[in-house]
Amino acid sequence: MLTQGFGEILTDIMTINPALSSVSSASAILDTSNFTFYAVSLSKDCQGFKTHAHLVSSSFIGIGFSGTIINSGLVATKRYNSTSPSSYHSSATRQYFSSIYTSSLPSYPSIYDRKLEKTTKSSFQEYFELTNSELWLFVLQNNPAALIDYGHYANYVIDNYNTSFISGDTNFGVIFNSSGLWNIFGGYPPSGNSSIYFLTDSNGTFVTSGNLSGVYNTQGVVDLNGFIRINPFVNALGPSAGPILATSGELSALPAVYVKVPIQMGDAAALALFGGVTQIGIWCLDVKEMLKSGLTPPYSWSNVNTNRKYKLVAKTTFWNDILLNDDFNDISGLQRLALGIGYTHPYKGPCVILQIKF
Amino acid sequence: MEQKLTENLNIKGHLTISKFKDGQEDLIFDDNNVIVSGFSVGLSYLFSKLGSNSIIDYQLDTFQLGVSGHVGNQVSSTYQLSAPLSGIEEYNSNTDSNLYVFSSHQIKNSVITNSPVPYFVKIPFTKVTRIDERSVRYTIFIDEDSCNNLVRNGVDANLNEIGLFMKNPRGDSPEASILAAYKYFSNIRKTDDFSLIFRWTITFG
Repeated sequence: MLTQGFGEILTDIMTINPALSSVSSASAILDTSNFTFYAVSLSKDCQGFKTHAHLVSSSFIGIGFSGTIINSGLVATKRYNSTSPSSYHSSATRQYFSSIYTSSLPSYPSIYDRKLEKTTKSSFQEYFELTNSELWLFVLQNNPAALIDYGHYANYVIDNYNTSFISGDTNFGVIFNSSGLWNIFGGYPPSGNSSIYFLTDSNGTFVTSGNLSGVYNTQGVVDLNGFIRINPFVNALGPSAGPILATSGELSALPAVYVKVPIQMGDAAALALFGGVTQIGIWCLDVKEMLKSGLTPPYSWSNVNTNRKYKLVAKTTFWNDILLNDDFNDISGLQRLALGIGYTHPYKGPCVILQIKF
Repeated sequence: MEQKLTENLNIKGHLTISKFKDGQEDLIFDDNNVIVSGFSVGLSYLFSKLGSNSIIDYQLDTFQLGVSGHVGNQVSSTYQLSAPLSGIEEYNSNTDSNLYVFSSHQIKNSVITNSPVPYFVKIPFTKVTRIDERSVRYTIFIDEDSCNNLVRNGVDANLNEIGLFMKNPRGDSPEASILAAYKYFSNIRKTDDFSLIFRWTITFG
């Protein structure tokens, strides 16, 4: 579904002053890359941000590298599905918590949407806000951009604020920086195999574990705020390219553009544990807002640069989690996702292809 | 369900035509128009990054008037006017005309052609107005010295069709425009007694 943001972009295009082409200091504004599809983002249902791997169970305290789930790089989750015991079914978790998890569907899509989901705050974030804890104030003061509610998964792991925080809060008396919260706030694991997933049954008994290596972070295509850069080259070959823009044949005969969104390996497994993906958004740069803020083109990509402003131009919503995983041939569903087992195409994971038909 | 852009985003065009004489403006036509497939083709070149690198090549900056419009042309597959005015002298009835007319190339059914030579009229940027966040209005002023007393094959010819063109979406050299919006209207016998004002509003959702 194209949103009203797309209409606003078209209006910007039709009304931008062509005389800027003769002004050397401003002509870069007229480059088409400022107006075309720039990034995608992934999201899910609102309440899903408070459960799944976002929910810190007392069963998990003590299993992390530093004696706590915080700052450990450990994505720990209880599964409530009875079938495929070494897999994680987000739908079973929703069903188990149905008394409080009242709406398992993502918000109904509307052309008026400005973001994917109305709120994506985890119960952990809300706890910090409510208690006004030292940690919350620390994060808020030092990196408020990291906590903007964009309506989709963020990428806290590359939070580049490195000053350690020593908390006097007895509940969280640990040393860490804010990037150490990624395994609770959710999103994308770091590159390399430095993170681990840890699955237990509903009683807290260990079921399976493995390494997580984030592909998007390895490629450097996802920024702190969870915007995943679309490869600027059309029809780029995967899998080292991030989301890809593609066409199919002659545009005069089929005026359509495809956005291929591969969700691979560590990204797929981590997102599955955080409740999966039921929404994908396509974003353009909001050039008008950036110019108002004094940000002038050319706008080069940097995953640690969070001053870009985006406009949602299209979204798609799924009834079911597209990262549903199952055990197969005695191989854990999570392991199959994390290692890309069983995927014959080069992406080593699910690849969602969005078609925008003009 | 697959939807085309114009359906998905509910893109609409609306055209009014007014006759302007002796300081008085009279509305003589008021109807929706057709966004044709050329607009979609142009946007697909933009968003696939396979077309021009300059955003101004995707703007609707010229128009044509014609004398053989008909209802059957008001479909999305229309890629040209039935009988566009065929020369500078048809647009500029005399040297006082304010219309800037030039010949160029046109993309017709995906083929670039300049046979017969297409003539376009520039829409001054000052006449392109953002109405709101998702609407643009193109104001086309046909003054008293333009498009008067047209004759085809010895017979009076009346204005009855108009098209808006996207500048050069494929980035062709020389430039080649593509029809983006079309409207057939009831016959207007243009003379030097009056001017015409076309107000064409396109709303993107």
